[in-house]
Amino acid sequence: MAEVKLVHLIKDFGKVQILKGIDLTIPDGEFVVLLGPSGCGKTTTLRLIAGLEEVTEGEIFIGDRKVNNLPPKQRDIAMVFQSYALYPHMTVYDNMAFGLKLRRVQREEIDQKVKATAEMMELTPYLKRKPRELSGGQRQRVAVGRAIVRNPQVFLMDEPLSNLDAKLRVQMRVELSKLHQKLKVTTIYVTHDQMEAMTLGNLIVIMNQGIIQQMGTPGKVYDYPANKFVAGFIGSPPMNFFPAFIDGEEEPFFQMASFRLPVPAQHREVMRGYAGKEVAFGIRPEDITVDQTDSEGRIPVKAKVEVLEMLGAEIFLYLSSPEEAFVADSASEKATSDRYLKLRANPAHSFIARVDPKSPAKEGDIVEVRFNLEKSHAFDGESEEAIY
Amino acid sequence: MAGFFSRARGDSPFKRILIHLLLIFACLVAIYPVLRVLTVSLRPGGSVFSMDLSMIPADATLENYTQILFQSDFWNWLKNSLIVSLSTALVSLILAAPAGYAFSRFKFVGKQPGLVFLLVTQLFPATMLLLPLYIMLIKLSLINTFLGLVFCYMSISLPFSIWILKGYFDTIPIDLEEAAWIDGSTPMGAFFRVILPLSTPALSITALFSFMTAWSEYIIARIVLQNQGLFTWPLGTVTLQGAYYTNWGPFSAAALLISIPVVVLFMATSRYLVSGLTLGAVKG
Repeated sequence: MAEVKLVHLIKDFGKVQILKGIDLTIPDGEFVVLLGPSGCGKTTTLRLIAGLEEVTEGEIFIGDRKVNNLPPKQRDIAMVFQSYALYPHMTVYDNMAFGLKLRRVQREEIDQKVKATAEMMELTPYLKRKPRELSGGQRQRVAVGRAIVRNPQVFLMDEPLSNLDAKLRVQMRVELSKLHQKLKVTTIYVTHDQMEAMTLGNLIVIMNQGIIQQMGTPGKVYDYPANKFVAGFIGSPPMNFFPAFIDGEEEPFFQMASFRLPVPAQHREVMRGYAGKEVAFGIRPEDITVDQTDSEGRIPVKAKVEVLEMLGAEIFLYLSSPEEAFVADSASEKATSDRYLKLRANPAHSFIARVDPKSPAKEGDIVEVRFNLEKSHAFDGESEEAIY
Repeated sequence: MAGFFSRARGDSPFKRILIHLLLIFACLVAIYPVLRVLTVSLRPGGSVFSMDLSMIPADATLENYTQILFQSDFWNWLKNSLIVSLSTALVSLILAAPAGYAFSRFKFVGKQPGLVFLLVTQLFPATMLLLPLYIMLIKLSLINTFLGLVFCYMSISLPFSIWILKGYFDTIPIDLEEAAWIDGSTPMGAFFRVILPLSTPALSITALFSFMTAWSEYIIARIVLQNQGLFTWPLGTVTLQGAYYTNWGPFSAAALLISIPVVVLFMATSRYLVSGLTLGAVKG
């Protein structure tokens, strides 16, 4: 078990820079998930830690050792590959014993360790089989077993569940979670599946275009996304964004194309600084309601239900805001300014609401939606960094 | 027979019959001359030129076989041929496997031109290489030695072997080696413990090809070997030809006997030629 530390890690492939300076400290015993869209550099980061790629610039530490120039075998790590990479000519037993044999562990000790691991991974009946005689889930367990039998300092997992069917994936996710709680080995897990990231990780590192966008607990990255990318990437369906600008001196409000919403009281101070500037107003689908009555005095906004997705426990409403402006003072001088005309150029805006299945909304209805502004977000129009 | 049916799955019975008629015809064309040789080898000395077309002649005899086995240098030719052919096969494998691996996995300057150049060497007719090879062997004092002959045969079999093995290594997922490195293997160790065991089909083909290249080769052997004691079987059997009269009976018997090792080798390796060994390595 050990801490893993990446110091300003840069990786070039030819002229393309895949990693543009990664600084990351992964505490000892932590389960960290590297999350991001394909091509964001998460797998490259993992392969650099494993020693399968050469570092262009920067430093990698595992424990107290700088491992930049150590071959994979000296880094005391184990890796589970997306493809499992089981040795096809060896039995399950030999696959698991391979690493121990290479390290010249005593035969009795190998036998005892492999059998104990097989027991833990429920592989005992399959020890004499070859990988091609196993199902996908069993192969996956052999791959994990092969990693843990060596008791390495760090586990590296590269999308290990992506080849399993949905049901098995959920099951293995729980097993991996349990395994980590039992073994407490530092684990770095790469995935593009935010569901996996949220459920497995103690810490989530969100990457995009070779840069770390945010690192934090699943709750923190969900509730306090650092920028528009993280806000849009975490959560399914994703956060809704409305282009807007800030108007109003004393009581600033978001001026959208066809409606306006007040800035929540606790954020007025900071938003005053954005007066007249473009921002993105963000709200998660679950923070939009379509109730007919609202006791909290939220401002109703009319919207049309384009598509309704019934998921059983909840409904996704795909809504579009109406094109006509029904903001009362749209004729005012400010409202006819260039900024407003720019917004109005593309007035119809679609967004998603996640509502109670008892909601009476039907496809084609014009409904009144209300936004829970306490849970809203605002992002700088240019830098896309979170304002609040 | 299982292969017969599963392979033909999806084809109409008519198409299947047509395919098999064609295959049977091709087999007959290939096997008929061999059967004629068998017939000639069974005829007694006097009736070699008989017009009788029956497969086993009425006066069939094994005297040609006893003559070739016990009254000629047959065993010596066989030994020489085996030494030369097995060495060619072995050395080709030892050199082609690492070379093919390097071409498959590593990036280096001249990789692409190198591969193409290997193919280009195959474009020249072997007879064109005779003179340069002869001069080289003289300069290396390898003329009239097995080593020199093996050296020549390898120049023919190596390019092909490297290509075959490179192609096969390309199909083995690199994940397997990376897993081995992480498990504690050196790159060399991964090659020997993971890649080579998975490559038996390609290795067998390569070995078989190299063996056969050397086994029935005549012209190069004729030039390199001058000492009768070193003759391989193609040279040896030709000594049965006289200037005025050729002893076709023993000649045919020798030709048949000599083909046995190749047939045996082919049958022994055919089991490994069936690929699909990497199934189950990756994904599910």
